[in-house]
Amino acid sequence: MISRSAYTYFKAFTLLFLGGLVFGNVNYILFGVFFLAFFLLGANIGEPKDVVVKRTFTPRRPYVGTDLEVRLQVTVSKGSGFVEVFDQVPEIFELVGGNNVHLVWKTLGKEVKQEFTYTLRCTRRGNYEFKPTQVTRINALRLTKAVPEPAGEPVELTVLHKPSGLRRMKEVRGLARTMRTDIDQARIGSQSTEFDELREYTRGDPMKWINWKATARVSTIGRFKPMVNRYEPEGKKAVFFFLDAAHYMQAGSTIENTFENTIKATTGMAKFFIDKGFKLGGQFFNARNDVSIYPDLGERQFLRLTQELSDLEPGDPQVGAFAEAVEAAKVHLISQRPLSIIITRPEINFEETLDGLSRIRRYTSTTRRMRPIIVINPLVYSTVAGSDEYAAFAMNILKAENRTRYHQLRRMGMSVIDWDPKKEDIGVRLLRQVRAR
Amino acid sequence: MSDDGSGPPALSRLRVRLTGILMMRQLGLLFLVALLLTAQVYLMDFYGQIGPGLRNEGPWVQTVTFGWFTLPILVAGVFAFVFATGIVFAAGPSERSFTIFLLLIIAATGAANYDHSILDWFLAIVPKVAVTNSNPVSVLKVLLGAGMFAAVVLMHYNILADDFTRRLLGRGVAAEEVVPVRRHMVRLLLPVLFSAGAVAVTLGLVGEFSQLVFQGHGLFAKFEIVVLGGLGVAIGYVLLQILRAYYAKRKHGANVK
Repeated sequence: MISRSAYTYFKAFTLLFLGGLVFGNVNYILFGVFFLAFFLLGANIGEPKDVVVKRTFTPRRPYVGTDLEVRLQVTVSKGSGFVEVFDQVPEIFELVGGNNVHLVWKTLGKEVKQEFTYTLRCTRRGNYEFKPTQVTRINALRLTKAVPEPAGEPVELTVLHKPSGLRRMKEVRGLARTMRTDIDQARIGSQSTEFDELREYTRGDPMKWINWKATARVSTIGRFKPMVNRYEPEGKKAVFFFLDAAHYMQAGSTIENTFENTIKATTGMAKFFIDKGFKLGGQFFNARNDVSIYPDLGERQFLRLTQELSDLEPGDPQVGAFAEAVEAAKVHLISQRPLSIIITRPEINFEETLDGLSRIRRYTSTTRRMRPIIVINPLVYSTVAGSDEYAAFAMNILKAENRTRYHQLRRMGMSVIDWDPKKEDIGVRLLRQVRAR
Repeated sequence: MSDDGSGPPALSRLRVRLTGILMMRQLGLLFLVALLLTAQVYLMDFYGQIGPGLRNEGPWVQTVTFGWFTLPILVAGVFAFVFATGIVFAAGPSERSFTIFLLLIIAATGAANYDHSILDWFLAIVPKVAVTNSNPVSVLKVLLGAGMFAAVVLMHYNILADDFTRRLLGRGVAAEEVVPVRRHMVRLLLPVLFSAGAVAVTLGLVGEFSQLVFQGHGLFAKFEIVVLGGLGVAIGYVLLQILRAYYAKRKHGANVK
């Protein structure tokens, strides 16, 4: 499409050319030829061609709050003119360095290569699509209309929450207030190659387990006792997360709210258990799309979990959603007897929470052995109250009212951890569970 | 705010200065346009064929008689016309005011070059007035006209570059990338204008030589022009089709990867 300016010149050509015909005036025709030649030369020479854009993102999986570097390499091979390069950035990214729109000038007969870098700060977790870089080839004489064209492919980027730093207290000897399974070995599963101990042979041990050197050494002292090598079983016990993703978990601003903090905490806890070799599974209920994660171990399982967490969007609370989530995980709960971690606000629908917790207890524990159930309760009082004195007072009343409910859960043998995301990190909160001896 | 807090901001001062420079540039070009148009008017009846009493007799250059009285009136008239039409565009630059300015300059050029018309439809209705001559092309006037139109186009691009710079700044392009835009545009514009002028002048030269060789007035001169006109329209149509095909290809993003 020709531009308005070009149209004016074309009009001048037409007028002069027709005038030349009407009056039989060659001078008029030649003036018309001047405008035509100007238009044709300008439209062809002043047009950059063969534009190639390469875009790289570093890192490919950024964390919330970290900086993302985007590098654009623009090559223009033919023609002459301006090339506008523009990257449309999803709203949640904040431009902290450089510029996402640039102008490149291509000189006639000389290939141009230019590199631009800009930095974005990721403010929210999730999956985001960076549309292809928009390239607008602008005629240097503005004789043609500049139309934006996509260059390259769209890029999908996953922004993850930086896992909260959970760690074991090694220096401080103390008593945990609740049962922990971080050193429990799985009862079932194949043997690893990790040597554990030497023990006497018992019936049923495979012959290949016999350590003949140790057997000879022991037998010289007394009677013949076959000794066998014992190896650590593969993996530790399982941990199962039940994460409530209802709207009521989302107190605060769109970027900084309780729900985001809860996801960050879940990522942190998952990282902690995965690093310790635990099997990890989960059910995310009340979300826009409910998620079920099959229990597994290893870094891959962690990536899967973080991917699901980064996609998680809060939804409307459904009646009986928690109980349904427990029923969906029933098979795993019975076979694995995992440590169950429930992240919810129990006071919102206390009866339903109680029902769900009873079901977990029924499927994981026996009369002889109780499996630990931890309820993490993200407190929204300080987030909601803010600096308003009256709101803070109202929140204190609410807090006192809920205290009896939490006591009821504790009486049932469950650990209820009240955690205020605004005041402290989940790692710090969990460390407070340890009582110094 | 300025450093002392009293004067206009530094950016505004710079803008005022730049606008001043632009205005001076435009007025300079306007002066050039007026000068070249005056020269074209002055060179009417270069070949001295208009008629007795209207020209100076001389060995080489024969022009319409512009005596001491008429010459200043002619110069003043042409300059007044050019400045009156051009100042509207220079003061209130827009695509519309430029179109009006260009059309008026084309009209003035038409008047200055009317003496080369073979088909004098227009003045034939007025008895005893004949300004046409038998030479249908004047390379000197084509050269002057091409220079004049180049100056008009330069005036237009002064405004376009300014507008383009402002648009780019509005889109968020960094100022250091936008500053050389005008320089780049003018650097490409000058050779394109020169080439376009060269094409027109070369054709004029060919025309002039062919007039010399063939004495410029064959039996079917008027018929030839009509045939040539038809041929020109046909060439224009073909060019238009090529352009359409070219831009259709461009639209599909064949040049961007």
